[in-house]
Amino acid sequence: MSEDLRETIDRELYDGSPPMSITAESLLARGHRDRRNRRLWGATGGLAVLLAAAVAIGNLPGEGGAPDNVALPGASASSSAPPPEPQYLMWRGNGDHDEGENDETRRMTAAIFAAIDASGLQSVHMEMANPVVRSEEQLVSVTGTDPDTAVPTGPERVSYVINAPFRGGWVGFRLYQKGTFTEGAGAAAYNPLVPSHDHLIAGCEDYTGMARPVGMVGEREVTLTVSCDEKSTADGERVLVRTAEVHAVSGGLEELREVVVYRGDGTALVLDSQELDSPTVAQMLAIEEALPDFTVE
Amino acid sequence: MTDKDTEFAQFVTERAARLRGFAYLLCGDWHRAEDVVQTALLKLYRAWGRVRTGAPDAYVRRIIATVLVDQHRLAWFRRVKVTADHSLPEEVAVDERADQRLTLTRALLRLPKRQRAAIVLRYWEDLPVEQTARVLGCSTGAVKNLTMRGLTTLRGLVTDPVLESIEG
Repeated sequence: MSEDLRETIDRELYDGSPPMSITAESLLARGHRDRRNRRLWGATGGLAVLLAAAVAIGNLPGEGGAPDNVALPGASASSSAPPPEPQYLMWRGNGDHDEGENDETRRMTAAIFAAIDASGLQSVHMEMANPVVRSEEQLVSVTGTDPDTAVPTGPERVSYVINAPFRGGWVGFRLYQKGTFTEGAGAAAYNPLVPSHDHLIAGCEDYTGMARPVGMVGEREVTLTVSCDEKSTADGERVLVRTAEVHAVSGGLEELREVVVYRGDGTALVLDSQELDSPTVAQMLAIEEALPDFTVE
Repeated sequence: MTDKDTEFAQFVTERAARLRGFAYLLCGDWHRAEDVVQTALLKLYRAWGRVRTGAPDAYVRRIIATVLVDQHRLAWFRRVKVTADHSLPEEVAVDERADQRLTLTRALLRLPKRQRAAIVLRYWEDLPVEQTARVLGCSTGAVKNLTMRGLTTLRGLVTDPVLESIEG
């Protein structure tokens, strides 16, 4: 009986679980503050975006810019051991300026679902599915791997994000503004799946490395086998394809796929999938091929 | 406090603990679970005007599942660290020593994410197949397939009699 299973898990789950800090009062206070901030943002947003773009262009390193991350796994351990508490630059989503749908995001959502259908996959329209969201990110400096140490240190940028369902899986889309990234493969930051802040892909070398899930029960470490390939679209746009096979100790295997298309208008589109039965690289390229041009600010 | 705020506060009081348990079963990390539930509830607050008369619980579960199951890359952001040292972190080692018995919950946390989510939604949240499919964004057939595979794996990991009586 599932009732017995529920009771068994409930007993195990709540036996020794930490106290919860979420309260209705704190959420309401935060919600009210967010609403005030959004009103303020609405009043000053145009100037803020202009200033942010100017700073971003000035700050982004070009080819050969100074790296802000540690060496890739597999590199010589004796000469490249990371310092105890390295600092990283990373983009952190604000998550507070989700204004809901507008004409632009509605148009993008419809185009993405149409492109999924055109690629031969069958899109799924769900009542609760998220539409394209305009996401604002802040460049922050993090000490170690503790996100709580993040200190704002640079410009903000805008991206458009959706996790689009189709029959049998999901495919993620992230569209980045022109001038907010450096084209080409970067290097891994503290995590082999996370690129250095100025790139959209975490390296393009083939390697095998170890990673350790932090805070997970039951999984001790995994082996990552990463490979990367460079292609071009029919329109001659540069494409980087990166796949990472994740072998878990328990015997599970997952494959993460990322396709980055540097588009002719200076924007970049990142598609990703993460399950064995999710779209292949060829299917993701077919989806991208079917997408119309988006004009983003 | 407005009526909207009162209704929202009541929802949080009644549901936050259960939602945190749901998030924990999807990610195996209480801190991350609390972060995600807090974020999901803030999104719910913004959408409360249009969601409150519908299914706010389903709305929040959908956000939590999207973050913890589907946005794999973001989940890894927090919990993967490159290291040349393969020894266990101290806190996990202590935890493992404290209880060598593989509980049902720990076994559940070893399943692939979507299988785990399907089992949690079907048998812990007690959702019918159709609602589970809506949360996971897949067909009802895929849900049945995920739960069947998940139960088979669970039975290989633990010999809890509770599992024997469930038909996948």
